Amino acid sequence: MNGANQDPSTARLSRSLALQGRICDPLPLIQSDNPKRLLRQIQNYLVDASNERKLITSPGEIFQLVKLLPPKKRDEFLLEGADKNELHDPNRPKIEREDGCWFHFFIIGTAAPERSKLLLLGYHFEMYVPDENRFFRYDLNSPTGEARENVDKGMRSHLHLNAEDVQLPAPAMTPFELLDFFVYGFLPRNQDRRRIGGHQGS
Amino acid sequence: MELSPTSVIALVGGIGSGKTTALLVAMKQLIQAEDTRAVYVDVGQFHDLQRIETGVIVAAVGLALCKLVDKSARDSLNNELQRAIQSFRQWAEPQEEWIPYDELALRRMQKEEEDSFVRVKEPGKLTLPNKLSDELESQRKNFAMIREAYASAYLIGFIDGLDRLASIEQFQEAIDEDLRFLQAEGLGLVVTAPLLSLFGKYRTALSRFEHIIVVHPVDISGPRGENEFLCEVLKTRDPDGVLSSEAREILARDSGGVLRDLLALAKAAARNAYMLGRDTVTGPDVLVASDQLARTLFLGLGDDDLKVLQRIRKQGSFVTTSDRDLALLMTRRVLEYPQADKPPRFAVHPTMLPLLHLAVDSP
Amino acid sequence: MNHDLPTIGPGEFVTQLGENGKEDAWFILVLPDSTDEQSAAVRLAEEIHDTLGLPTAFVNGTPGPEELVIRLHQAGTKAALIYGAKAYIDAEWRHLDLLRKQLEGGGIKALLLTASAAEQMQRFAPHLSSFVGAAIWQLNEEADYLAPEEVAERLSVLRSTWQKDDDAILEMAKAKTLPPDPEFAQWLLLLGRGDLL
Repeated sequence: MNGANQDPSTARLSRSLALQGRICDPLPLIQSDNPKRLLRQIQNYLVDASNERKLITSPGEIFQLVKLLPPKKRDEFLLEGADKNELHDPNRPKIEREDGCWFHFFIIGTAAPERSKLLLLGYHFEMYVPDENRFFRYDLNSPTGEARENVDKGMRSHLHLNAEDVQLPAPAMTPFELLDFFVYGFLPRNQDRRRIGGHQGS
Repeated sequence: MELSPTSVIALVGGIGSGKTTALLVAMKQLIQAEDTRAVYVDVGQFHDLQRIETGVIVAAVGLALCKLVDKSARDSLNNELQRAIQSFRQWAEPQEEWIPYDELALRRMQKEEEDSFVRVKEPGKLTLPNKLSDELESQRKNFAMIREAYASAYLIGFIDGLDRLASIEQFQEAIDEDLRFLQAEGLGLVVTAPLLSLFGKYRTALSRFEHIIVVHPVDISGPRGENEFLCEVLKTRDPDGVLSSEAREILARDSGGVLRDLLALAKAAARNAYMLGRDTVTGPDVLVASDQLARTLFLGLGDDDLKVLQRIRKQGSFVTTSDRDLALLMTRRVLEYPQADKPPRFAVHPTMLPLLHLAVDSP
Repeated sequence: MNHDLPTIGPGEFVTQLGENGKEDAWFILVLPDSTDEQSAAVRLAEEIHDTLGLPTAFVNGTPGPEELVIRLHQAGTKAALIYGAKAYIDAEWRHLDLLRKQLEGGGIKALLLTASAAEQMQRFAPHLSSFVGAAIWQLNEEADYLAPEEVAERLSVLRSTWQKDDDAILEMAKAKTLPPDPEFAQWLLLLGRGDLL
């Protein structure tokens, strides 16, 4: 990889692109016929989670919070799950987990050449942990304008960890892989795991 | 009925007031007596009431008896009785006929490729090929045998569904000969009758009944703990305690004492609670349900109807001067509560009150 | 006096159907007059299948109440969408009311009507109306979409977060200098300029 003829910065770029290729190319397709169906699949996923009490957001609120941008003639769509709530106001409607963490997301996509599937163009899935005032966010940049350049830099799919200017490489995921993690997978207060980690370290 | 098991009683009440429940409760009590048996039929389940005519009630009661005899003594039926049952069933059971099945759109949607005709047992085609009334008398012997096989002593027929008949003439036509037939066979009868038969010119419809029992909505403003009764009904239907006590109180109040509305409101309130992510149904869930029911009750009302409702709301007075006024009673927008030693009290269905208030307050 | 029926989105409606799951239950959905009820029925059937996993029968009641009952019995599925009753005359509603008992049993049934047909039902089929109770809504297919004020609110948040106005964003998009964050793509879509993505 790092051949003798390559200068170090070219080599770094080439490794970064290889990494990008592994985590983000090709992007996973969304297994859904159309945006409306994807909307309903996501709403139903969240309603089921609410029924299981994994979410304290009620089914009625989920239908209020998860919506599509009214369709235009073009194929692109925008699907939103609650608004950004930038100031982390706990009183705003939100998709909230049983442990008090809350999240919002949006997905940008378009029709895939393959019928009955949708193509991801970008996404933004942010979790906020209110007790510790921390957040993390998975972003998939949209490959337009300057973003194209960033794709080339290997930063299209990344994770923000508690800071807007910290970007860590992250795998591109489907909306349901992200929801699996946001609703079920992420366990910030798994004390047992922390303790074991501590013992191992000492 | 216990004292006079061959009498003929009309059970009259508004929509959803609990007539069927009353019938079933009475039936349960009467069959405790050793020498009394009972048979329940909902004529509407058996027959298209639109085409009700002489013979239908006898056919319905007879078929129910055949079923009961079959069930209780299938192996010990003698040949004569078997023949009687067969002959009665042949006369009384709905006929089968070919009907066109031409739903192209339906087939397209379901991707089904049935034949263009299906054979069905069509409700309401009871009268084909012969009119039941033509052979009613000839079935008397069969009926008597079947009746005797099921109940050698007293037999009481609980006949439900006729209260749905909007036409009093139809009701009269349906009951006239059939009740005579059944009485002659020694049956006591309790028959649900349309609420309309209590009013004005329609009263003659009840002339052939020995007793008339009116099932009114439960008056929760009454002094005898009626509110508790409705709350108890809810409690028995809610073994898991999903309804809060506040919800039960509001349900009892907003139902106006109409049992079906009580249950419909409870169901709607439970749906509302679920959508709000609550395990328990609370007062606000019921209030939303009440508003939903009110909006259905307002459907189709004209300005004159609204004026009548406002007058009842403010003054409690209701004089039925037209069929349109009566329709408000028949469709339970107006509820009637009897009062001891006083004229009845009329009230607007309680779910409608907030919107009627708003109508007055808004400019 | 405003006593419109409550509105409901298709997803929420189907979820409510599912809440009554195994019970015998009737629901009424009032469609806007302009909606083609057969295509609305097909859309709802897809929703019922996706959400509740139930096969749905389409019951066309157009020929009359008696046919409606026959077809409903024939359908025999756990969910049925019934259409065609909106054209019933008063007498047909009365007839359907008399057939009320035969409408019982057999799972979830959703009757599609127009507002005027729902009024007729309330007047001429009071037993059926009482049986349905409060399970009646107006369908709002727009409920799946962000309302104009929600779009405006999101745009306002984007403007204040990034300290830029819409024109600047459009200029940058045209010049291919838009920052890579997905929020800028969101911004363009909210402005109705998906073509610049």
